[in-house]
Amino acid sequence: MKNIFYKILIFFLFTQVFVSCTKEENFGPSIFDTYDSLDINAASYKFDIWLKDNYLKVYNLDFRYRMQDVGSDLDYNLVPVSYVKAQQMAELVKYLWFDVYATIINPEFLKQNGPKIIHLIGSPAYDPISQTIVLGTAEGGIKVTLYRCNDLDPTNVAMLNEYYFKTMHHEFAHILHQKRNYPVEFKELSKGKYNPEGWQTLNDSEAASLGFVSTYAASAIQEDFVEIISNYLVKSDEDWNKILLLASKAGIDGSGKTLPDDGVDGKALILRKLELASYWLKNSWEIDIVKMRAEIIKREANIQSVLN
Amino acid sequence: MKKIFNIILVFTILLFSNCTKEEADIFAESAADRVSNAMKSSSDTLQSATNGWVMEYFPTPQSAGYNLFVKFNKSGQAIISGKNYLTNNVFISDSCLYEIIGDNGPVLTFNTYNKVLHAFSNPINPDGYGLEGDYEFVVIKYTKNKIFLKGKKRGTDIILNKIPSTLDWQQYNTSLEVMDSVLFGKNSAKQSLIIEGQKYWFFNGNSHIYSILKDGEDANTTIEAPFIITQSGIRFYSVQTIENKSFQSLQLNAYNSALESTEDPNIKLTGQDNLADYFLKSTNYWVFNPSKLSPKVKSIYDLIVTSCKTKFYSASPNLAVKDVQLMLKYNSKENSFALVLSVKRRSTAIEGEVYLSSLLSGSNLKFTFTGNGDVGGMSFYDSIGKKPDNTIAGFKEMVIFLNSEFVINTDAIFNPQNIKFTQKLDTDSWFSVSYQ
Repeated sequence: MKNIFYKILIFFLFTQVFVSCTKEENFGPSIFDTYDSLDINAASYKFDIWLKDNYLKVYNLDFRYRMQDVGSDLDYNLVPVSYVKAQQMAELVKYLWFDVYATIINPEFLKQNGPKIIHLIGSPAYDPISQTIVLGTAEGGIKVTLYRCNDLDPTNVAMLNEYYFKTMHHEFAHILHQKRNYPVEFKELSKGKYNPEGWQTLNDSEAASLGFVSTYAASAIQEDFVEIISNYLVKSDEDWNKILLLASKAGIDGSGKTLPDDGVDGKALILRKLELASYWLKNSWEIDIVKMRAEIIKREANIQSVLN
Repeated sequence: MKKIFNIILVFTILLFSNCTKEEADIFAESAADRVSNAMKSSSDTLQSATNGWVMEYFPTPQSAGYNLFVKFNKSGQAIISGKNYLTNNVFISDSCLYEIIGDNGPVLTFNTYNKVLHAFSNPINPDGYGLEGDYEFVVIKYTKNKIFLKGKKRGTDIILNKIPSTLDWQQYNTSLEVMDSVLFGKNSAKQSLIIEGQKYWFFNGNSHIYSILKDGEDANTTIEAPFIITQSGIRFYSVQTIENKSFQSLQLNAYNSALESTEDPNIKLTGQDNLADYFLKSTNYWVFNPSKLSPKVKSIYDLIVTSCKTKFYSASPNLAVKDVQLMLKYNSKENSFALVLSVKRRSTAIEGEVYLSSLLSGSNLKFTFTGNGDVGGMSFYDSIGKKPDNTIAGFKEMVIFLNSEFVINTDAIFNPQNIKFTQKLDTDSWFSVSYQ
């Protein structure tokens, strides 16, 4: 009797399996756009095609000039970049960053090591509490965000250098050291002198006398490392020598008082940092920083022709 | 055996009940299709306005409202215009790109910078936080002529109203400015509202954020109610509920005396009860308007201006007179009204005043020259034979003219900006003064 019961039970369960699995779901076409979605009638078509040809096809890079708040830092109040400034910035980023690497190293270098997303933001990222602004960020070697793009003035090279090109090279240097560590010795050079919370209270003289190429370099070791590289790359001989001159003197604080001798030779320290950074670029990435700097400075003199 | 039969029965029921019926779809389309359709439909509606939309924009629920004009082109370009303090009070237009993106439903994003719209979001204005206005909006609902949006970050409710195809944007804006000028202008006079026998004072309307205080209550119970100027009056950002009566949109009545609720005509925000009394209690300058003077008053006024220019030019040729103004103002020190003559030169102004006692006579106002004034005023009045002789021709005549009873009226008692004084005994003699 018991046997009959189990046979019937097995029969029913077996039947259930086939009854439950007889129908298959029919999937329709993908809900995502898998085709080229650029609209020839769009106001931005010409620029979008240019970006596609110069960034997406060449570097597999998404050059985002349309503000995406979910892709930005929601802690800040930000505004988009203007359409005109976005076009100028796209040209300049290519000319002064991507083309430089393609010329000095090879066209493959940034395909392999460059960011995959560049996001332009119109305003700076203000932090009203610390009274500081963020000019750029690099995230995980993938994405570079450039802020303050609405203030772009192509006629003011000093400003372009300070707010944009230095930022580009700064952020890219972050990407590079996130992939290959910078020299251990570098970490020892200014140990104990970094001030993540109060760097903005320093002036240029105080920072230089401590062996920092900028005030922001005094905020953390990795910032110090990339500031050395980016400042050296974009600054003219005259401006670079001004920093070294400042570093060779005793620091002067905000009230005009000369700081007591702290035993740090600012100039020697900056030059040693540059030496270590140059060595690391050469050995880890086959980048000749001197050649690259010469190429950048040569191109800076030619910005207007690129934008016209 | 019976037990086995029962078990078989249960399994049989299970077999036929399982998988025989599928849950009926609540929606006819998939979620992705519905979002996609909603985006398309929102986009079509935005683009359907051939002359664009007027956007009733509030940066935050606590901010005053601003009227902006927006047109959505099929190419993905938006044109936005406006005139406010962020555009230096100049009517300007700027273009930017816009998109409808799928993000918690259809979201309208203006994703490249527009000088008119993003000025409300720019952290530079004024302190690193900015005015915190949104530029991404969830499309909540829409009709053919109206779209309801909600700011994505601040949750601010924004309304788009379709603009008739024949109406020029700048003309539309001018009509709003005229309404603003009639209702508020420079004058920040308070208005009142009586509901259920309770009086409420409405202050600071010219900031477009009313401060509302119940009569007799402590000032710290004041509540703030932002609003926007409309073609017919004002619309509060949110529904106001006072003494259990609710209202949001108010329109100016035909007499320019009150803003009446469109929801309940018994709710009226009224201006001044007695113009003469209001004038006597005002503490600001009321400037003679040279283009609104009767011929008799105009001749006296012109005499004063000419005399000032001549007299002060000959005294200091390097300091030519740039402007001459006659004004009425309450002098709290003297506890008296005063006729003020102000002569502006390159970087300095010379002022003198004579005192007029004032008396309310029903709805009329009577001035009497007290015979006194400050040093400057009395020398303007009559300093013949004195050194220096600063007598201004026509000034004494004006004082004599003012030494009289006047019928006064205004074009908008809701918030008087201009007041006309007509001499009671000679109705052909009149002058107008404007709030300053």
